[in-house]
Amino acid sequence: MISRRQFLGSSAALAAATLGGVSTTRANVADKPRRLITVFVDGGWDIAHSIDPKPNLVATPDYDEVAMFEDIPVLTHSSRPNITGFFEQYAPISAVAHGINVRSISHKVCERKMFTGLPSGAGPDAGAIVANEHARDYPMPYFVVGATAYTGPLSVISGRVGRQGQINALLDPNDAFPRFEQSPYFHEGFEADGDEESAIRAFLDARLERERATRGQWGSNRARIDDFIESMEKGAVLRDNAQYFGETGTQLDLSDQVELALTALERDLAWSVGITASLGFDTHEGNDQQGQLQNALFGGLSNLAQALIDRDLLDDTVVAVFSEMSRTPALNGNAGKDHHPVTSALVFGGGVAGGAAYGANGDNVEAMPVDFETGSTDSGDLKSLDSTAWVAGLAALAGADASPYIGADPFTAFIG
Amino acid sequence: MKRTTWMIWTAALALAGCSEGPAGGEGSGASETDPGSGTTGTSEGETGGEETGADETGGESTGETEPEPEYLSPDEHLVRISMALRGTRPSRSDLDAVRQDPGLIPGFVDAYMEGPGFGETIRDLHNDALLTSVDGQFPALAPLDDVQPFAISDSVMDTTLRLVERIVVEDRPYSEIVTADTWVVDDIAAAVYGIDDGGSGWREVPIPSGRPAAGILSDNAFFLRHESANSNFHRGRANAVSSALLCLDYEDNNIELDEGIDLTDADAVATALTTNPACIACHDTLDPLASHFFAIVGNPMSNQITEYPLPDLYIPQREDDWMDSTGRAPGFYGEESSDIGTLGALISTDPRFTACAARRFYAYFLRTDPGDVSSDTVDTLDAVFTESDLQAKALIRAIMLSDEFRIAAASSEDSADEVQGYLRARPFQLARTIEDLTGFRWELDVQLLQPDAGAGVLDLVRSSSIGFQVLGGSGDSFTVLGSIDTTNATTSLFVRQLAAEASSFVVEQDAMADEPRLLSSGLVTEQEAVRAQLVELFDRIHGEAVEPDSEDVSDALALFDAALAASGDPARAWKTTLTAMLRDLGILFY
Repeated sequence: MISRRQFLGSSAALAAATLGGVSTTRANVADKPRRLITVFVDGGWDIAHSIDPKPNLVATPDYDEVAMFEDIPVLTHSSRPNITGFFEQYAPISAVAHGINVRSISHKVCERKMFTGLPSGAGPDAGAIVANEHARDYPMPYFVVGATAYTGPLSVISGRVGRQGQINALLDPNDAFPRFEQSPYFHEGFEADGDEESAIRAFLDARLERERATRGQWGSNRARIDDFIESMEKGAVLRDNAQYFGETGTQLDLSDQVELALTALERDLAWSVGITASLGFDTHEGNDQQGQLQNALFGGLSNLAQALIDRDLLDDTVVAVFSEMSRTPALNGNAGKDHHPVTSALVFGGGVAGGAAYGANGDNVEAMPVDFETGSTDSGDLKSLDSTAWVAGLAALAGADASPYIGADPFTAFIG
Repeated sequence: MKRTTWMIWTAALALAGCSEGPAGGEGSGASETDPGSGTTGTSEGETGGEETGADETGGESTGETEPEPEYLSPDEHLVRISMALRGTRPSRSDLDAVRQDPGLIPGFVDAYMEGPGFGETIRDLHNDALLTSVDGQFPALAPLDDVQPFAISDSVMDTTLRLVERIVVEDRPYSEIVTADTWVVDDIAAAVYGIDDGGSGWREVPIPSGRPAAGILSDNAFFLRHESANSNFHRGRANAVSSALLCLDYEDNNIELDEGIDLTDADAVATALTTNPACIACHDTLDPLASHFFAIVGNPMSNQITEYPLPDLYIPQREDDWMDSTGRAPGFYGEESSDIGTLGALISTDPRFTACAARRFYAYFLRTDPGDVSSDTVDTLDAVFTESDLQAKALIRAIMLSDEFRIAAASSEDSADEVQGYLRARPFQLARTIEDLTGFRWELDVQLLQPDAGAGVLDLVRSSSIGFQVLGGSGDSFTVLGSIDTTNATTSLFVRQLAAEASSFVVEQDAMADEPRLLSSGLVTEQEAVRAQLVELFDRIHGEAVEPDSEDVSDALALFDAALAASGDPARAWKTTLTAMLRDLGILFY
């Protein structure tokens, strides 16, 4: 039998060996390990509707005022009460990072960069990095309840719930897809009991042990075998916790995803969770739609924040809210806005240097150089805040070091 | 690309409303294959086993400073070839043949490319670049009001890949994928487009009049998938074409905003695109490429579908609409062009077209990123491809017989990280493997669930929206791109359940058949009979020739005995044993 310690140790060592190249340092990483929830705003949000007020732009949305919530300026309007409500309640634990330069206007490339820092998307995203560092031995360290995540070399620690919660059909025989006698493939079904499953594992372990002694001694072959074993073990634990994953056939909206996420965190099934807010933000026509979309988004974020408080998870959890890009400062011919490569992001939760906005977007939403430690755009070591620094900073905010995966100084101004 | 529409298409497929047609019309029964039936015949001694494999790629593996990796044995090589080309195991007789004579392998490569399964492989290969295989929904309107919405979508969105498949399978020059004057449709797609040819099944039909002949560039599915937000003047489509067919992806380039451009002034932005060096680096070639696509409706699914046939998505009168937008005439990297027909012809003769195909084919079969394929390998394969008059099978043959494709393991720890000795099976390959071995398809007939529903059978392995394609490790061609090359908890759970379902089917159904596929001796319990059946199972399921007293067989026997002792039921004992063998590492990796 291959021990749990054996395979976990070897996998971690492999990851360190194969992904190195940049020396690991703990400098600029938050002291306390925190869980990470990413809320990906799919489609490209128009930050001018909320966290990046530009009242002097000709294309600025309807607004009542640029309100200051602590030191965070926010564009507010009576038609978007949830935005106001969120910051009224949670500004002290929230921070905004401006001037993130994604340097692309392609959905998929921007998405990869905002998640992983890399245009290829080959690296792990911040959720995977954080989960791998803090909770490698959890049943599903990185739980992907939304559509989007990039796990790269850390695929083994991730798992998906499925667009319709179909993981449940794999976890619980009572939630399996129905079988019909009229089907040419009908059968009664088979679920190994405890003794039978033990016998199956003994057989598989013996085969795997022989494989490791031959083709699987080293390198990527060894990693595939170790991943295979680790996956079986984690899968077995998940089956024991099947009741916490909802049910098959449920379309997972934002609130459903939040519920699954918090349950998984609360029960130590996962450390990081990836949520996707697929609300239809890619609006090239009628930019006013962005207002109601963001109103819905911030309503969901308020519910998430309140749920974290109710479950006593807030201090241990960081939430990052970001889109792959923003939208142009001007309207196009269809009263919409197209893709823009400079954006802003919101973080809130434990360990956040809240009540402040860091960095800046210029008048035409261009990225302003910023001091990564202070967030000042006026003085200090002013540098371009690109997606690598954003991802490294997000990992650092959750107490994890991203340097084995991306060679960038982290943006740390928002670490409290 | 506008995502909103697709989110609507793919939203809320509650189980009560789901269906999907079977993934293909091909059978996948375990067949005995005649290696001499291939198109190029068998050249004895051409592969020569472990030491002297015929490497037609001429890649870097022969470098003197690199330690030679360990290669697959001939029968292991045949398993890998068979899985890669058709998603199934070789028959036992095929395996025996190459154990006796490794020189038969090239013949088997050719034979497998003529058989069932190869077509689906070609579709899957090309979907990595074209990304048209998405789950969506088309409304069930007359004359398709008795068909499930996403069964309609499956057919409509499959036409591009079906055309490519047909060209490759029928040994036509690969350039036809951008020059063909035909569509490939089935009955559903024909109804959607109003094609009344009297045919049935997937078939080739002439493209509608008024639309230039350009293979997949004339096909609707590619442009339904790659929509255009009209305000971006089809640049996204231009990049999709460039990326898929030339391996030239404009999106790889960083965009550096020039602070001197007033981004709030549309005229200033338009001027910059033709004068500013930072802009023209891409737009000088991207915009003329995009100008080919103005006649194709930008976001056709933004309007509610109210009837079939659909209005024509190609509007010739709009071909010159570029004049009122970018002002860039259609062109192809400096060469004059006029419409998608001339574009297809120009692409077909561009050296980047064949090189890109070589790169993508190799990357697909070696399970690596196209960008990681060395230029030497691309050059060598490109030469093979070109010299064959663009026969895709010649290109594939060279890959199958290359040294790189035979690698089993590193020979030392020093180089082990760079050597990929296991290739991960994708979910559709697992589905084919399981069906071939056991006769089982994991599917859900929606009309059995809901008798009043339209017709449609959901393939639970190949569906991403309701089934397990993404949980099993593949993408959905839309939000999840690419496949993972290892396992995680959800892929493990998927394989576990698939194995249990198939094993149960085998014992309850297949074992009772006149000619069982797996349990040829039935539900035997006597030790020697069990051992003998296990030997057959290792050979058939894993391609492993094991002795009755080997550790593998002894371990499997111990498993069987333990299961029988636990339940006292031979049927459960065989279900348990088969489940274990179908959950083995060798099922998921080849």
